[in-house]
Amino acid sequence: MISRALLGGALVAAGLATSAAVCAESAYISQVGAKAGVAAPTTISQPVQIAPGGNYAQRQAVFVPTPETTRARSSNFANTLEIGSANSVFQAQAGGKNFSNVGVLGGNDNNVAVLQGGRDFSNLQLVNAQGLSIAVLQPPGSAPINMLIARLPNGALLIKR
Amino acid sequence: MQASAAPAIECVIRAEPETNGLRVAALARAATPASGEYRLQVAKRSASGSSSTVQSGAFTLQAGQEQVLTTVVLDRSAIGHYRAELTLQSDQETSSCTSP
Repeated sequence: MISRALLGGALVAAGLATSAAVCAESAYISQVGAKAGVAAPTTISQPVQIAPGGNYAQRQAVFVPTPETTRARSSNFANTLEIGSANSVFQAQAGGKNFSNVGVLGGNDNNVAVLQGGRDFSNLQLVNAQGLSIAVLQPPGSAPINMLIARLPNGALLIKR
Repeated sequence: MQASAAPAIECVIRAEPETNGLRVAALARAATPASGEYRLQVAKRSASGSSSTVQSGAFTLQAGQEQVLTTVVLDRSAIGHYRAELTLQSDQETSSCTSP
């Protein structure tokens, strides 16, 4: 059942990535299992200007998981916050002990997909993003993801992990 | 006429508005020890956008115990604009419930 759910989710993520190439910028995040001890690769399909993560990031009111919200759970937890318009968030969690927090703050036409297989943690925040497609794929027991993607006032895209 | 037996596993979706959003919790109750798998689907469509969440996993219930299987939190725009469906499948039976 778990593998079936993951396969279905992966197909959705692939669909997002494909559509992103046509109409929007995209960022694709995937991870290997934490046991493999390999850093999670991040691929960005189009060149973007990476701005230094200085004061701007510190001013963002981004949800930071506290120990209370990240304590060990036998069940799954998914949080979605959308402020903007025409955003789409898909979250699939299989197994147990998954935690996912997605925030789309102040942007529009963004697509986010989070697929977790069990014992996974992700915290993804999009701030002022326009037309981004993001997929987070976490096989069971992946390393945690904490990521902020923000469109800066000067037009640059900040990606901070 | 014979009365139908009470379900072994009771399925409950509890949706509660909070300060920061709408908390949708999937619960299960059982009169006798039971185990199986659950699947919760929550979809929301509002001005701020749409979201869809699918959660699945295994559960084990003790007799008379109520257990939160999984939780989804949506922003407040979801109030009145969401639909949730919980399905519980055990060896004995399959039950489902929806909200609202």
